[in-house]
Amino acid sequence: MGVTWTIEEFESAIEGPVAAVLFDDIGTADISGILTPLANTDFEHESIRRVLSLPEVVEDWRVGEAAAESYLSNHRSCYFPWPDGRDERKARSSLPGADLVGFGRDDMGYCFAFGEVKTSQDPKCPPGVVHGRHGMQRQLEDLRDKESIRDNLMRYLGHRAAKTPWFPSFQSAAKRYLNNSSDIQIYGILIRDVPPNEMDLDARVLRLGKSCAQETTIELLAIYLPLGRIDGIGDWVLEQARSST
Amino acid sequence: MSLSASSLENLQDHWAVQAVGNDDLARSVVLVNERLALGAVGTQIAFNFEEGPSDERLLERVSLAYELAAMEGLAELSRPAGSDVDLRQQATAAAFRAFDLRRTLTIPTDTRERLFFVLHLSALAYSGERWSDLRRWYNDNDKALTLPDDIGVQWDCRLLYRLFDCWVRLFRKQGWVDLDGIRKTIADLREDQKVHEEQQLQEEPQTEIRAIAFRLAALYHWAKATEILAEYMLQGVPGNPISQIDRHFEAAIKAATASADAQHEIILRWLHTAGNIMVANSLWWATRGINSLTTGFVRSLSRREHRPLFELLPPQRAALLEQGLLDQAKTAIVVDLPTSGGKTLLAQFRILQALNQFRDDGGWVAYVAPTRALCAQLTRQLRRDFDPIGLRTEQLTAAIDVDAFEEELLTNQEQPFDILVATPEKLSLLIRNSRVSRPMALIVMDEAHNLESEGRGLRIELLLATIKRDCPQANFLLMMPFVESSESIARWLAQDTSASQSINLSTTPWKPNERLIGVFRAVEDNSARAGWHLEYEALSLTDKAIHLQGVHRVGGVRPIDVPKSKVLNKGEQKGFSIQTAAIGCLMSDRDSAINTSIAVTNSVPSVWSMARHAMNTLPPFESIPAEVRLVQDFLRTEISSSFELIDMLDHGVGVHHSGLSEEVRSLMEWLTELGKLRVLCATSTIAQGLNFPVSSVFLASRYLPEQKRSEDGTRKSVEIQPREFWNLVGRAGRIGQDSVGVVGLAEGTDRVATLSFVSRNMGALVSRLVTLLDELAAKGQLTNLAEVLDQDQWQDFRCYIAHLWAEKKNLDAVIAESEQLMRQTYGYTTLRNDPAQQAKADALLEATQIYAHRIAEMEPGVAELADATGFSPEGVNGAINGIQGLEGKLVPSDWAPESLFGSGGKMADLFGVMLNIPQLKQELEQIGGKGFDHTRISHITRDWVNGKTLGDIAADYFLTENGKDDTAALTDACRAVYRAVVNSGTWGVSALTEVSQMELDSIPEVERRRIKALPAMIYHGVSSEDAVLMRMNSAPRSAAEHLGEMYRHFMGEDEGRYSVSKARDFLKELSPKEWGTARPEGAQLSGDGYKAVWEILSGEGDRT
Repeated sequence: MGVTWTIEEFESAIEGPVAAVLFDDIGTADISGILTPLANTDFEHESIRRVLSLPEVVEDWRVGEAAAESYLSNHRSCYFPWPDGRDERKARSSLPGADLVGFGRDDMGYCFAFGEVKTSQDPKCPPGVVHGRHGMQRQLEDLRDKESIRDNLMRYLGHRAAKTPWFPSFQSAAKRYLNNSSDIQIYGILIRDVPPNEMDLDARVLRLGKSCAQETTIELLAIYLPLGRIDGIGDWVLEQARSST
Repeated sequence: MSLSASSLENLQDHWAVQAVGNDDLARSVVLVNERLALGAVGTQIAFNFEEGPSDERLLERVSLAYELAAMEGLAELSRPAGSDVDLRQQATAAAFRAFDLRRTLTIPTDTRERLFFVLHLSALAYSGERWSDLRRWYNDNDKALTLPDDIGVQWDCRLLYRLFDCWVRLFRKQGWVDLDGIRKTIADLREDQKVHEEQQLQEEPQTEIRAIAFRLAALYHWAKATEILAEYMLQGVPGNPISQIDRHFEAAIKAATASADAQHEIILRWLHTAGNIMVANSLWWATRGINSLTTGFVRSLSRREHRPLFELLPPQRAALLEQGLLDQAKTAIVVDLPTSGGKTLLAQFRILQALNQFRDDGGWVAYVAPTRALCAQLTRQLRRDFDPIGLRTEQLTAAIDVDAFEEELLTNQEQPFDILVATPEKLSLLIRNSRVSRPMALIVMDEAHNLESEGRGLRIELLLATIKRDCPQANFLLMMPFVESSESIARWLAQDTSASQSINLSTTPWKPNERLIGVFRAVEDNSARAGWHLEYEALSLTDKAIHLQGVHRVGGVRPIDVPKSKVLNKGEQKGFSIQTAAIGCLMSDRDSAINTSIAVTNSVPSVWSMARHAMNTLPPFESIPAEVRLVQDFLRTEISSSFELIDMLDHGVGVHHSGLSEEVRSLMEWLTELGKLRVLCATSTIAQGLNFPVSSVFLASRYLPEQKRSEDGTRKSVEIQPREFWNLVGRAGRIGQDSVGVVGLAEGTDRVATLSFVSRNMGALVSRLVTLLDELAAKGQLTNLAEVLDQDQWQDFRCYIAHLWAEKKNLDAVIAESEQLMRQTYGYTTLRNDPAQQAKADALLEATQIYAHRIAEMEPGVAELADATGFSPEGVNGAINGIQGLEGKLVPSDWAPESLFGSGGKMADLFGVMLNIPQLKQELEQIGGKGFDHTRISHITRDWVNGKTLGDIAADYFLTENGKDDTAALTDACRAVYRAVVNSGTWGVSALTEVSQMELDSIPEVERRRIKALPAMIYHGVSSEDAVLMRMNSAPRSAAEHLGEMYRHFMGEDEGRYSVSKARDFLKELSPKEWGTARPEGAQLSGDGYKAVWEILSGEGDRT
């Protein structure tokens, strides 16, 4: 499905839930906890220090992911236990994962919800980010077909779940998953700043649904921001945040 | 706290495990067992298992459920002393199960996935107390451990690959050098950083540079934690590495989290826990702060080349850290440890503690093992481990006699021994005669379940009772497998009830390895003429084995080329030795390496027959291993170049039974331990001669070689005791090497009886004293005990009372103290403590008092002579009468070696006397054969002492008998020499020297010493004192006389040369060339070969 945000809706979302995702302190890396003992490793640490002390940058796609997370949390009963926005992003992660890792809710209770988000200004519909080796379609197919990826995402949550308020959600989702590891929700979200176009998603729906297990829910979403707003949106959001503090 | 069986049971109620569903859980157990069996023996046994396309996923899913349960307690596990015991147990149990499943999964082919898979599996193994299983997985999957090629990869990737390699080294702990390589790898990485880090940071797009910086920070922290851990495993420093490891892993996890690399974060969490567990399992950690001797010992264990040790097995850790093995307040400890659980190491720690505790008093430790071979193995091991820390281990011969050289060894003040290894009989002689003036600090008794054995149980019990009485400071450490309620034994030996400790580890979930236990049988196979093949059926009767369904074919048609009629008679099973040889041969070919199968049967002729079948079935080695060639040359030189075993060894077939010399048996064990034999054919006595594991064990019969004579005179087969069976079976599967040890028992003619044999319970250990009294009570003869006491089975008991008499020398005192004296025994204590058994206790007490009266009526000095000789008082009387009845009175010159062993000497007369002494008669009569009499034994003894080879003795005395082949004659010769001459002849001559009451003081010292050396000459089969010294230090007999001459020449005529340790030092220094000069003419064994064999037999050098 496609959702269009007006300028007002967009700005209100950026200032509200998206900013909360992007600038939540919980998601902020404990840089000093990493750097201080680094001196005791006997490895040189100046370059790392230098890089991590560079001024903060919020890339445009991170705003896109935060927007997606915020949308799913508010409109799909999804819950993502830790804000993803401030994580330094997945530069060649050790193994494939997902952009959004959390829980969805349906009649049966909680299940795991995994999402892939692509932010694109590409005028083509669908945009280039949908295709290719690292494209959204392939990522979603992997999430749908590869249990090893889903298992790892479950472990990822599992390691953090103990003694958290969201442990009951995890437990409920995990029980369903252990009984049937297709019992999950998958979201594919495009963040666009071009005119809404059904072509962005249409063909993909058919292909993803073709060999999809009955228990798996896959939803594709496109969020259309005001035209041309993606370029520089990271800087803009950062500026907004600074001016508000 | 070590994993308990109940925690594994409780785990099944965990929400994540429940979520999987019972059907899938059950299916996963079946799949794991089937995969293990297939992986181990899938090419030998044609299993008909079926797997569906979803089964692999099912295993993944179930393992994930267990992993979730483990994750909940991961933080608790990573602390060496976590406080939430339940959560810790849950995490350990869950990791135990998750490892069980994941080790059977297909290893990913993608490089990164493979690395994470291996690290994850390894961490699960450590968290679930499965590190010995992990090492086995490493052996089976060495390709998975390969360091990926890092040419052209980015710096972070290179770091990951190298760290993977470091952790593989940490997990496998192959040796000092392998572990020390970690230090170099990480030092190299620091150098590489200077070039590669900047390069990567410059190449990365700005949008990703922060993530890369975090990733690198995580990797550097990981590297540092790795380095600290490796340093600790090698050196034991810093004293507490955990805080540093924590600090770097915590920072690494933060950095991995910041880089949003889920996989990296997960693996760091697991490795953090595994690293801390590794520290807590390390020898350094377990022994920190004990004493400097122990620290030195741990250092030497970690640095030795052969099987270095860095960490404890779970039962060892439990014994040391949780169950009070080193609690000084505990004076008696009984350890019930599964076979292959590493009990010798536990004993070593306790020994060090005892020696340290009694250091100022010159305390010493007795280490008792049931057989000569086991004594020799233990001596080798103790010397190897203790020599580097300056502790002296000496071994006494099994002869029931303390010869002049042993006397020197026992009283040497300059270089006093610390540990003495001996058989129970020899130690008994020492204790009763107070041969060592220093205090015994500790007695370690290996295979202590022999307490209940029919032959020696009573002797062992009374030895312990004597030690308890005569050595009040002594601590006790008894080690045995599978003994329920061992607390009562510990309580018996302890000075008071609070000083006893029973360590029961047989029932813990830890297993040395997986084991397949089943029955095999021959079945008709019409695919060939007179065809047959074998079937194997795994038994699910015991939780000690993998449960498998179905009956499975093993090998092809006619696996041994004999017709069906040899193994089946109208459908009934027969030819069990053939069947056993067949399955042993088939299973010896389990992978590219040799996997020794032990094929056990119940008679020496059957062993040879089995070995012949095996030889005819297995092809000869393409290239005979050097070790095998060495043993072949030894056999040619020492026995005969036509000895059948030599050709068998060409095919990788060995034999092991009582009709072989101790040396040959030791060499067979050595080849087996090295994995140079394909099949070792043996009698069940190998169970007590083997303290190392093998790949598989097959039994042709559930009966012992010996038969028991019933009261009506008929002979009856005796089943192997359950504990003995499981002890033997426990050797199947080598820790860290085979994924599955295979055990098979020939189904035989009575399937039901065979199955029931395997499922028997072992129960508690029962004193022989109690068993004997029970038997009497059952026959209603309890009141006749005093009369029955004359029977052979009560001989040891009579010796015990004689010892008490010899000490008190006063009837009233013995009578007055008899109750207290009997309380020293386990049997009496057990009976007295049980209200229902009072009648038996009373009967025993009364019989003791009656027998004390009888001793009082004997000639003065009989009890003392009984102590000195080891004979019963009746035996001493017999000996005295025999000697007095000789035609001419024995004078000192008759005892001179050249007279005694020369023609016309008195040896035949002495054997005539011995044949009338009950304790000697039985074994001497076993020589048997045509023309058996005391003259014949004396001739064999004379030839033996004068250096004839066993081959020649066989030819001269045994070959002429009807139908005897060379091998049978040689077997008889070996038995005659090693059982009759060496055991009873030595004992007899020694005892008769005492009994004859020669006035030794009147003869010169040199003569006196030579007479005292007589028994040792018989024992070792040499005719000079210097040669005895060489033999005492394990020099091969064929070179001993020459070596003795060289030694005499080297040392001069100085009397001080009569020292076992000086002789050992002399042998240590000999070059192969010098060994060569000691070779007899025409010897096949070269100088190098002699030296090598000596190193193996003596435990010197690195060959063992």
